[in-house]
Amino acid sequence: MLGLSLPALIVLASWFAAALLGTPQAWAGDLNLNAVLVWGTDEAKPRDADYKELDPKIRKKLGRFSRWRNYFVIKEEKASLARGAMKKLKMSAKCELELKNIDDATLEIKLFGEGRWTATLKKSAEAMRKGELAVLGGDDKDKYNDAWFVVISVPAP
Amino acid sequence: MNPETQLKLQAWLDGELPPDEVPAVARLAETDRDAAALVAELRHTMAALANNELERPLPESREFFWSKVERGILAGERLATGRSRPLGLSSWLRFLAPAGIVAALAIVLFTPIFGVHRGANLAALEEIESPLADVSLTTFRSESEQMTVVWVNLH
Amino acid sequence: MSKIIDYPSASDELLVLNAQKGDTRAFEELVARHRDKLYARAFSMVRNEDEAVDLSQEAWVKGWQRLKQFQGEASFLTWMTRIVINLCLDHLRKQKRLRTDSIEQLDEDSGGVERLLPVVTTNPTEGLERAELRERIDRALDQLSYAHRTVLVLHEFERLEYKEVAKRMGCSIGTVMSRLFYARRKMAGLLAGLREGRKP
Repeated sequence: MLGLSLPALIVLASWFAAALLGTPQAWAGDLNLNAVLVWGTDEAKPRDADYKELDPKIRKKLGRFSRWRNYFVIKEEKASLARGAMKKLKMSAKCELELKNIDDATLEIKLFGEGRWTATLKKSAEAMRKGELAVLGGDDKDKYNDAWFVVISVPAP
Repeated sequence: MNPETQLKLQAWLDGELPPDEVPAVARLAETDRDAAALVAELRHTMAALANNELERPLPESREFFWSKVERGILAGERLATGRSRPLGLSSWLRFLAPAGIVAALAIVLFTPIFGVHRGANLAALEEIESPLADVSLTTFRSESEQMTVVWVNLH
Repeated sequence: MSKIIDYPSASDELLVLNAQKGDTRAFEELVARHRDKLYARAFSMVRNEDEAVDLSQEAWVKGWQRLKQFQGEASFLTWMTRIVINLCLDHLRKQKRLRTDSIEQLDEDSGGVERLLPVVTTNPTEGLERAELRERIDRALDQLSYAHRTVLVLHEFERLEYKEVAKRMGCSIGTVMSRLFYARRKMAGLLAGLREGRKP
């Protein structure tokens, strides 16, 4: 077979097995993700709403680039993606996400605003596993000076 | 004169007042002294601004400015056609399929050693795009915060 | 490029047609022809030379990338101007958010401050040469906040309707009307002040 002797084939097969076992991407397991829809505003929380405050660590990171007084969590969703799997998350009536674990190496995040595919962000899955945040945001169309964010991260084990 | 009336006088001058409101506002501008004074002031300002934006030459030579634009165009085209992309195992195998099984195995063997991600800046392996003409994306990146923010601008 | 054309004397339409087929020489001619106007528009909005150069450069690159979408529904310069305006608006919004000091309060929008401004009875253009008037208008524009200057540029210089201004600025028509009213009244006062030799 292939013109190789049996011992050579055994060695090659062993190397092959070692290679596969040693490749982080191939055996990373499912990509577990958290997606949070956040409302950035200078106003106080509405009295009749039960929005939670954003995780302080994420709030601190967002605060490095933006200056709202408050960041309220509107919705939180989770997804667990095997290699090649895709999941749609409905974050609000106007905001949907499509998350896809392309090949265990790349996470594809598609944002749909009011049904329109608006933006795509591709991130390294390994970077996400190491603590990277992927954030999409924009002006709130209905409320001047407010903003929305979608924060995607891999939760700590 | 209340603010609403003032804004109606302005809208009348701008041709943006609903047609059914025009006669009343026009009458007010003629008969009310304060309204007439405000209308005169607005008219003067509008006339002063019309076609009187200061002309400004771009403070760079034609050749220099064009060279920057050209570089931007070429960079955009490189990004569109030759995006760097982390190659997964399957991509390597597909690429090498015609070369034969032994060669494929050899590459698989070496992938963990010469893996695309090893030593690379993982966060740099990002792609961002929007398919919509009325949307532009602004990207903020913080290495220290390990965060990429894509700001969606609707036009 | 299948035809040899005389670029400097070719019409914008012909240059666009060729540029859409990939002729960068044609696009270069369009850039040379309209770069000053585009830069002036960017400067009117952002009031900073370096930023205006960068934004107009970015607009030209985007113009090339989107050229196939241009159908001739408006003039090429109008189409390019829309692109640079959008880039300037994005830039200004981003700047507003990245300020380390407190966010600028736009009290003028809703505070009714404009009601307190006395009506200006003199005509600011009277007796002025056009060049001098343009200089004064430019200096007065510098005194406005970014929101008021933007609404003035979009409505008075770009001749956009209230609805279109509101869409680009991401605010209501009512807000546009208030801001425009305040901006015009402030301009009247500033121009009158400049006329009397008062520093703004």
